[in-house]
Order: sequence, then structure tokens, then C-alpha cells
Amino acid sequence: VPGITFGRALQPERLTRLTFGVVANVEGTVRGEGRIDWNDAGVTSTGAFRTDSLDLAAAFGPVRGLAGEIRFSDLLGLETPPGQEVRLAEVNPGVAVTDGLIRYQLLPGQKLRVEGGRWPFSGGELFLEPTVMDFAQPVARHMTFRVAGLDAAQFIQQFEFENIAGTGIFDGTLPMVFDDSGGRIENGLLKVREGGGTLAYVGELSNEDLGTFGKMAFDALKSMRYDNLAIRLDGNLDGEIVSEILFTGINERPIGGEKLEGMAEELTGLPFRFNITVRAPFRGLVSTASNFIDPTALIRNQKPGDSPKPVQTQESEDKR
Amino acid sequence: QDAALSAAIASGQVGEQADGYMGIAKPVGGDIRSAVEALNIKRRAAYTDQAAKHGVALREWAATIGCQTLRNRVKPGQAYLLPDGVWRVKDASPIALPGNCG
Amino acid sequence: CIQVKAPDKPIEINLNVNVKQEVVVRLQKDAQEFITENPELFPQ
Repeated sequence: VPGITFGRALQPERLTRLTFGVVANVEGTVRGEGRIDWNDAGVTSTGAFRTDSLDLAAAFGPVRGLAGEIRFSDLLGLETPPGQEVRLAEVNPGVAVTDGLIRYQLLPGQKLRVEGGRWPFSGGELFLEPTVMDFAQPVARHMTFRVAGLDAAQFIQQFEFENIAGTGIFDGTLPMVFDDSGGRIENGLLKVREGGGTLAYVGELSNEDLGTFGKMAFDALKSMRYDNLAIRLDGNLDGEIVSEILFTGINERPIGGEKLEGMAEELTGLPFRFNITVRAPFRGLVSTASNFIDPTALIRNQKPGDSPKPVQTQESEDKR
Repeated sequence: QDAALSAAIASGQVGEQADGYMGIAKPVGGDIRSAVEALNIKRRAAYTDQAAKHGVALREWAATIGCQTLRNRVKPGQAYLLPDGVWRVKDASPIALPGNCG
Repeated sequence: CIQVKAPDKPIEINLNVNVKQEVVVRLQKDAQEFITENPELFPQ
């Protein structure tokens, strides 16, 4: 096979029904060679195919720059020895992740054994845990990603989170489910490493009438040093993610600065325990003109009478 | 196989959904199922670029498309799916769009 | 002078942040344009 070039004129489903409804928009060239031998013992078939860069669209989203070689121990049966490798320049199941490397093996009966996968991610790494997927069954695909050394500052910068700054190195697990409606995280958990970090919400709050406790919460969040922090994550990679952030820490900037002029200095270093639930699309935290953040501050140890009002932060200007 | 898919649309076997993708309203043969999946894969790839361009979540963009397809591309006799998960057949009157369609 | 004693127990604060985007209405025209420019994605 000197070279098959897929594109507008030729799509893989013209060669094999197997790919129809599985991949689409395939673009790139595949080279390789296959051998089929008959003898009285029966039929044997082997082959090896390679590509330097293939783009395609799959049910979980577009893939760019797929590269690698696949060696078949049984070409007709679509079986390979272990240790096949494929590189993925970019995969976008709602969030773009780049420079992936996956090791796998094709097993009899359209089964795929994932031996492992690795992506650099926000200063750390994402590891795809070994699993076996049965492509003969159109079922949801469960994959667990382990997070190691994720740098909060790089993550915030990479996803252009507005009005938030933070540090801390995180590890954890992100169990994911991929089906034909996309990819979602189910009880993901990230924890900060020894040493904790800092967290600052620096958005201005245009609605001043926040109630004393609400004002205090946001003053404290202006510069918080935390020692332990855990984030629970649930939701759709391509839609809304609910993250529950639990941490204890002390405030490094005074609370209610102007009102309590006389003792502003003393009001730092107070111990806080925050439980912040954020409902936002990944992309949604990016600043767009019509975006508004509606934090309702609820203080657990607060008298029932003093219910805080929802807050409208100043609409941040559109950076693009 | 485009003709087969168009026929399935015309007969109400498959139809547009509020989430911006095509869905299967009645049991269909494997070829039609694969054709719908292939179409949705192409839509999703295109939506991914559009969502990035407009700086919105993929599902938000897809839902915006869904509002438009329900508003003016579903013909009487064809099937459509609202967020309540119930397949309906369009009659002469306009479709009661989901709230977020505005 | 006023003596402030830091509370022994941490001050517990629950916060709910909802980031909502009124996208669907704002992008209606863009969505319609996208559909008309990509007929192969929207067979009838």
C-alpha cells in the first residue's frame, strides 16, 4: 500500500464499513504493507501501517495530528501484539489537550486494551489508566485519568480564568465517561500537596450591599493562604462543570479595611474554612461581555435574619 | 446513503433535537443509525471550532443551533426532540421552543 | 484600645458561585448563518 490519502474525495468508510459512524472527516495519508498467506494449515495475515499526521473527528470530538505505526499479528482479525503506540497532537473532548501518547493493543473481537496514556497538562501530567474497551458493544466508555503535579497557577492561566489567582500543586483522579453525548467527569477529586498555596479572588464586586458576612467572605478571599484544599469535580467537559472547593486557611489582607480603621491590622491571620461551589462551563469562566458571576454568600454560623444578597460582579470587558 | 437518511428524516424515523444533534425517533436499520452517528460526529467537530471562536462552551453553542433547527428547519410530519426527552411530530403550528431559546 | 482575639474555631463560609452565560440569544444570528453555510450538516 504505497499510500492512501484520505480527504474530501475518499473517506475510510468507502474501504470498510467498520469506520462508518465511528470516525469522520479523516484527512491524511496512511502507508503500509499487508500480507495474506494461504496454505493447508489455513489463512494467516499480517501487516503494518503508519501515518505521520492524520486528522479525524470522533464521537468524543476532533483529533489533530494522529501519528504512529500499527503492526498487526492478524490483519484480517484486526489483532496486534502488545505495545502499539500512537501520538495525538491534539484531542478536544470539550477541553483541548495536546501532545498525547497512548500505548494499546487490539484484541480479538474488536476489543481495545489501553495499556496507558500520557498528556502534559498545566505543568503536570494526565495519565490514562489501563483499561479494556469492547468496540463491538455501543456502550459508554469508562476511562480514569490520574492527575500528577498540576500547577494551579498554570491551570488558571491556561484556561484564562478571570479575576482568580492561585498557587499550589495538585494530584488526584478524574474518572470519566464518554458516550455519544460527549465526555463527563464523575466524582473527580484533586488535592493540594504538602505546603498548600494561596488563593485570591480579585474581581471587583459592583453590588456593595452584600451584608456584613458576605463582605467579610470576599475580603478574606482577596488573599487567602491555605494549607489543605480539595476540589470535587462533576460535569460535562463540553458544558457545565460543578466544582466543590473545600479548604482551610488564613486571610493575609485585612477584613473590612475602611470601616474598621482603628484595628485593620489585627484582622488578618484569622482562620477560615471555605466551602465554595462553582457552577460554570469550563469556557464560561473566560471573560465575555455577557458573563456575570452570581455568588450568594451563605455563612453557616450566621444568624438566620441576615441573609446575604446575590452579588453582580462588574462585567469584565471582552479581551478578544 | 444521503438519500436513505433524507427519507428517514422525511418519514419521522430520525429528527432534530434541541441539543443541536440529530436523534433516532423510531427503530431504524444499522445503516441509518451509522449515518446519524456519522452526521453527529461531523457536527460535533464543526461545533468545537465554532464554540472556541465564540468563546462559549460546546454545549451552549450546540443548544443555540438546536433552537434554530427547531425554529425553522423541521417540516410538518417530521420528528423533533425537546429537552423533556419526548419525541413529537411537527404539525402546522410552530414548535414550542425550550426556554433558553429566547 | 480594642483587643481583638482571633476566634479559636475557624469562621465557616459557604459560597455558591454560578457562572451563567446568556449565550443562546446572543449567538442566534451566528447560529442561523452557520446552518445556512453548512447545508451538508443539516440534511432535510
